[in-house]
Amino acid sequence: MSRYILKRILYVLPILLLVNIITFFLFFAINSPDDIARAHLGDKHVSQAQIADWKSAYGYNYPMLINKNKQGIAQVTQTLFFQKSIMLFTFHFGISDSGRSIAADIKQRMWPSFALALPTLLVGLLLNITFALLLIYYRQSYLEISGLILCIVLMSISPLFYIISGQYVIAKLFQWLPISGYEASFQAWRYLLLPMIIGVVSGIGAGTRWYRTIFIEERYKDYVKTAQAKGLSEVAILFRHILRNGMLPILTGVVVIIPSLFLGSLLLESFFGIPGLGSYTIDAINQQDFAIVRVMVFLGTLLYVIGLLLTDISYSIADPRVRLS
Amino acid sequence: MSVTPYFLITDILYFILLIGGILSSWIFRKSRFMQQIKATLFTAKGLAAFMIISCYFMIATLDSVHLYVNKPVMGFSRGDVISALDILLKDEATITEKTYSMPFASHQFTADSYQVTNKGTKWIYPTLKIHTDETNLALNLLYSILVSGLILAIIFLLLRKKIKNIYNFPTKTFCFMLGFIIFCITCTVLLQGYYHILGTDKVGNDVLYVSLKSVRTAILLGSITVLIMLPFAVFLGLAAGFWGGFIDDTIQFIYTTLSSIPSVLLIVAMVMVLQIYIERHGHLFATMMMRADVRLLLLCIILGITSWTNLCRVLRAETFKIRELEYVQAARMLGTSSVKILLRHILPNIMHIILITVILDFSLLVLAEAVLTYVGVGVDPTTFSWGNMIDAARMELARTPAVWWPIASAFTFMFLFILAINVYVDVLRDKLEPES
Repeated sequence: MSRYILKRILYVLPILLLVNIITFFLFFAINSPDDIARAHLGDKHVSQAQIADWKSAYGYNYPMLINKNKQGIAQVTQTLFFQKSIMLFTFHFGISDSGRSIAADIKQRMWPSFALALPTLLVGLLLNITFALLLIYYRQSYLEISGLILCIVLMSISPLFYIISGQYVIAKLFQWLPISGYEASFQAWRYLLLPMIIGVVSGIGAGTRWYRTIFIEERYKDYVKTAQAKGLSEVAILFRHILRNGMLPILTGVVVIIPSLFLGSLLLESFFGIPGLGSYTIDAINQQDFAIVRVMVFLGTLLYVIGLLLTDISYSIADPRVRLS
Repeated sequence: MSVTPYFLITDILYFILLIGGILSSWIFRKSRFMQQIKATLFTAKGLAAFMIISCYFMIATLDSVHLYVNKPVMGFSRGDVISALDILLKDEATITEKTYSMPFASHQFTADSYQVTNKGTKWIYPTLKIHTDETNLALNLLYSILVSGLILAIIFLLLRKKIKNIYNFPTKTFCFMLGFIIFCITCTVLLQGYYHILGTDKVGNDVLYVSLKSVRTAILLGSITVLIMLPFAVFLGLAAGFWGGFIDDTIQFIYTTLSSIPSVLLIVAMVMVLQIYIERHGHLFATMMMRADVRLLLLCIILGITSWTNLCRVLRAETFKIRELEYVQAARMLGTSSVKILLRHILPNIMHIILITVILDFSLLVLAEAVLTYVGVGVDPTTFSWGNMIDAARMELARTPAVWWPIASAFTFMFLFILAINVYVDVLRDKLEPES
């Protein structure tokens, strides 16, 4: 087992490194640090001295890959690539282009994101699986047909519509819940409830259909026929056999996104004013803050890769055949 | 000549794609695959969805024929780049009000000034530039219903013999949808000088006109992105699944790496970088339109780069499965070359997966456009798009009384399109993969 895990970790490291190299070239090769400095200083008539000042203030005053002015190991460490990309591995995120510590911001903002994303995921999962099982229970009836049509309709609606109309109807017309905002205490649920509901509802169409295809594949397997022949009730077959066997693909789909929950949702957070990492990213985009976006790309990849690792491990526990192949 | 043809890069790509699609479906019209696709048109759901999708594509095609105005003509001024759609809807394109007005309204939505009378202050709502005739609204609508009924009757009489001879054709659905579409067209064209059918937006543009212009952006974004991602996904997926070994490992590593970056963040990063690049190199683009066009194209390329991995993974797995089947083994035993096996035996058997995934990706891209534009990394702010409409109008819901029509029409246009695509894919899947 430990050997298998080690193998997976060794497979993941080059991925992270390659992602780092890609983002580095993306951010520094197409636009040089001078261009970034000019974009931030705003005006077209910026003197070279101002650019140099800005670069040294925000730690961009290094050569790209090799520093010829330094000796020994410093030739490699005193470069943009090392300072801005490799240092991400040690969680030294540096300062944002507006001068704040990115690591501190992230530490503070990841919890509201998680508080919104985790219940959304769990409630959504529960509802989607329930609806999918119901559709199978009532298969080949008008209930199933209308359910499937409803799924297609729900799938075809833009996520923006769910957010905007939900906010308008529930928060503005009926004033049941606050329109936006956040409080860092147990009172936070009042602010999180509406985005959570919207997050769940907007995923129901696609989710239910997806889980239905998984379960329907199980439904026509031989062991179900055996169970039916034994005289088991439909409900028992659904819960004891189909649900259990269908859980495996569902598990892999869910475990992989759990770490990414910390990143939060760009749309929900920015519409509802929740100070999480999603709205942090949106703000960074609007201010063209490259430092933050670069860190978020790294962090997102890291969390996804951790999710992949967890999936592999949980899968190999659930299905030992995987390890052997 | 008062107008000369004007080509944008995206226009050319779009027409290449369109002509290519039509040609290939003509060349392969006899194949089993095309017959199965044709069978979708013989179901009521499939036909209705297909007719709606074709309408959207027709609008996009009309809107992709661009003309440059040399001399002021028909209300367009010199230097404008107009499309065939603008000429068709010239009143909606050229008559702009000052600001918001309700659908079918004769007066502006907001008051400009007020008059102090002895009874108190009286707000003055200025009349619109358009010759609105509110009293005769019912009559005008009746008139367009009559006209569209007449056109429908003529078309039906002309086609009656042909339709009758086709076995199993869902004639009722066909007539109903055709009537609906013709009614929409006659309303838009006949009433254009008299009403703003869906009202006007903040800067006074006709909302119906803006919504129709946005169709092109959505369709071009979807189709060009698909055009870019398809070769990557198909070649790499086939190669990885068929040859295995080192090639497989390399390709798997590449797509695992690309897909482990959260796609939104990757798109955000790339678009931000290119945005600065375009800003710094503004002199490369002659007109605003060209600049917006290049930005649309770059967005397509970026979306193409980030979205090929999913299809590639599916195709790799499927190729891997088919490669082990007996008829492929037999072909290999007979000494058939690898390329021939891929083209003859494997590609036709994964064609349905490619088609279905591509259409679904297309609909997801149309939805993604609105989200990306809201996030600030979508199409240019000057481009007509549903995302820009939503972004501009979403704050207006907060005022009382709410300005609901721009956002409602953007969502309706988008919803109808995506719904039609999703329904069509559902029918297509039934025909292409009957076993599931």
